[in-house]
Amino acid sequence: MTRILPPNVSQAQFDRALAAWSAVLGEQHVVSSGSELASYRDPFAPGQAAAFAAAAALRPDSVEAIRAVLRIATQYRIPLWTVSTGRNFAYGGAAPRLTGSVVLDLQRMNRILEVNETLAYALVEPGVSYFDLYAYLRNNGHRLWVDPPAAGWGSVIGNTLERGFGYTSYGDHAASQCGMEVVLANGEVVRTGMGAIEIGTSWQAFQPGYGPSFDAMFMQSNYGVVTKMGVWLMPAPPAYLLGEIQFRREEDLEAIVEILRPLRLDETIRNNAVIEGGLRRAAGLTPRAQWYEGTGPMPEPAIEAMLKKLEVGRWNLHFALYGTPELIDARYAIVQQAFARVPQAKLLARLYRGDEQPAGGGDRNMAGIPAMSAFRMLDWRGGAGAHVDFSPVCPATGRDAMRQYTMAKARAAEYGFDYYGGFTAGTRHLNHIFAAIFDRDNAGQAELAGDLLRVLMSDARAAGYGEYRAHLAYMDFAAAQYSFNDGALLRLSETIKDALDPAGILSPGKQGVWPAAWRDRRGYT
Amino acid sequence: MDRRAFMMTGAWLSAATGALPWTTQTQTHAAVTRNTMALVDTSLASARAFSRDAARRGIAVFEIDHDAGNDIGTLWYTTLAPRLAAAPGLMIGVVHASDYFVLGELALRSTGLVEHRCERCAGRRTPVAFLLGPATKAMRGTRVIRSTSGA
Repeated sequence: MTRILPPNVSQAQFDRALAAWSAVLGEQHVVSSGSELASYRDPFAPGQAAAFAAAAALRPDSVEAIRAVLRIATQYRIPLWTVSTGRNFAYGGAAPRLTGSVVLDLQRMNRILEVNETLAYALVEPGVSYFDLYAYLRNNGHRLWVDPPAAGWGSVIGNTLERGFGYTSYGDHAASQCGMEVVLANGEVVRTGMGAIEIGTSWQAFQPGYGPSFDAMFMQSNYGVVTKMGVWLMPAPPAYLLGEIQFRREEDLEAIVEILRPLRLDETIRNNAVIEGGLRRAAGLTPRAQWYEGTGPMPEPAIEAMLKKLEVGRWNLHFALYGTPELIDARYAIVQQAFARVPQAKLLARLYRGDEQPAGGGDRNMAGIPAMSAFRMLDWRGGAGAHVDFSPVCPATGRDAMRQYTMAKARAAEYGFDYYGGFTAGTRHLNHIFAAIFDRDNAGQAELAGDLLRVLMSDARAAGYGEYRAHLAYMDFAAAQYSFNDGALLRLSETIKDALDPAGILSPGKQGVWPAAWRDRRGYT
Repeated sequence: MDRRAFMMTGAWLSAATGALPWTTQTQTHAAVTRNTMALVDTSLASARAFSRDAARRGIAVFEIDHDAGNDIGTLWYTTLAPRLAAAPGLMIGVVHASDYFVLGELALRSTGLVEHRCERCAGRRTPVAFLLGPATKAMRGTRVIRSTSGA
């Protein structure tokens, strides 16, 4: 097996760096070969996974160990790539943007440092997953909920820093974050907001602190290594109702969005409601081959037959109402009335009281329970399933939603893919997620998925849309699309990067932000 | 795990999955290591047969039901991971490909278990028969740090 080296570093220099890191971390926490190093690949790479190969991985267990790792990286000019647990699949997993980077894997920093029942927050380290935090809260009798994203194995910090989202009223993870501890490239440890008062009592209670606020600067960025973070937790409600409204027609999407927006704005519906495409809903229940064995996109008659048989809508709106039964009843009546004007809309709902729990993964997410059932999408096409996601932000208007949907569906069909997607509703925007599902053992399919993503991004940009997140392969392309005033935003990002990290050791290329030392490595734009 | 135990368990996996459409019946061995666990998805007909056979051989069997909405992540965090932490061993089973992907990633990153065998079905419900176990020396690869004196 060919050994991957960091760029511009000789094998001898790299060996010395590895030895130095081993002395700090212990040899077992420095991974430089074999199956363990292979685990830092991107299993869903839409093309050549080797293009994003790591040279090694380091697993520190403390802030002091991280500082020592950074010192050595700076000494040898070796780029690092920070991951919390590295399971951000569809966007690159644990793999680095710059080939030969060394993964700084924070999974061993997995302490839940504090849970405050009164103020409803937790302070966690990067290795804490949603499953971990959920189990801790349950095992210790806390009446607090986590807000899991679709894949509960993800890190609470990692998902928040990537601006991920969940499905309860606390679904905007970046907005529910309060206070960070960050190690800068020079080893300096910073606590943001109220955390700058050493004996402080309000670090997780008040987001801004005093003077300029910096927390958002460390999201989707490479300005520091976040080692602690506060997260607000939702008090367990006395009851909750989970509703699903099924809609028969493709064009109903416009009405759904127009009806949903005012309900989100006036907080009748307070959770991140999901408008799920029929095929995505069906894919969680059955494999594609049960309905259609051909190649290319699934024909409309086959989709219609499948949806009818499975009793699934063309669009399926999932929403939740939390609170006392009286409040839920009042809100539910409003929701019922609002959607009654859509012909053939079918409303299903169930009320849960106290500790009652729903059974299915998507419903469990809306009840603050982590799950991994979202990965059932991998079975849709058969073989070794994989996916890469196109994630444009969509204003919360019916016209925009229909426009993005029809654009994505038509392009997907052109490249032989089904429209597998949906919209997660913020208040003024929708997160439109389309997944190109492919067989990772089929190089042709993987290449096509990669090509499709580029075309979708071009189409979206031409129509005035941009992505909120992108796979490693498209990070530069996505960043270049934010091009106002000849790319002033990216220039600002890189000016800050050079000031904070002159040696360019922290996650070069993350979200298209390259330090001066590696700026010539920028990819396709 | 010693090499003999691994070979025997691997052979048993082949035998136990002999009923599956994509595997060939081979010899039957009652190779059970003390800490072997079996994971089966009872929504798969072939897995149910596997489950019965594993139980008959005294292997601890853990079941999930894909169609009933059971979740592989929940099973891992609540049951499988604590058990593996307490008593490291092998894991064999028959599950959907998607659940196997999740299981494989969790097992590798948190317990160091790696794939020794995996047989995929090309059929509709995408079952996978697998054996996960500790990495052999060859899988771990050879770390080459030629000199520490210069660090």
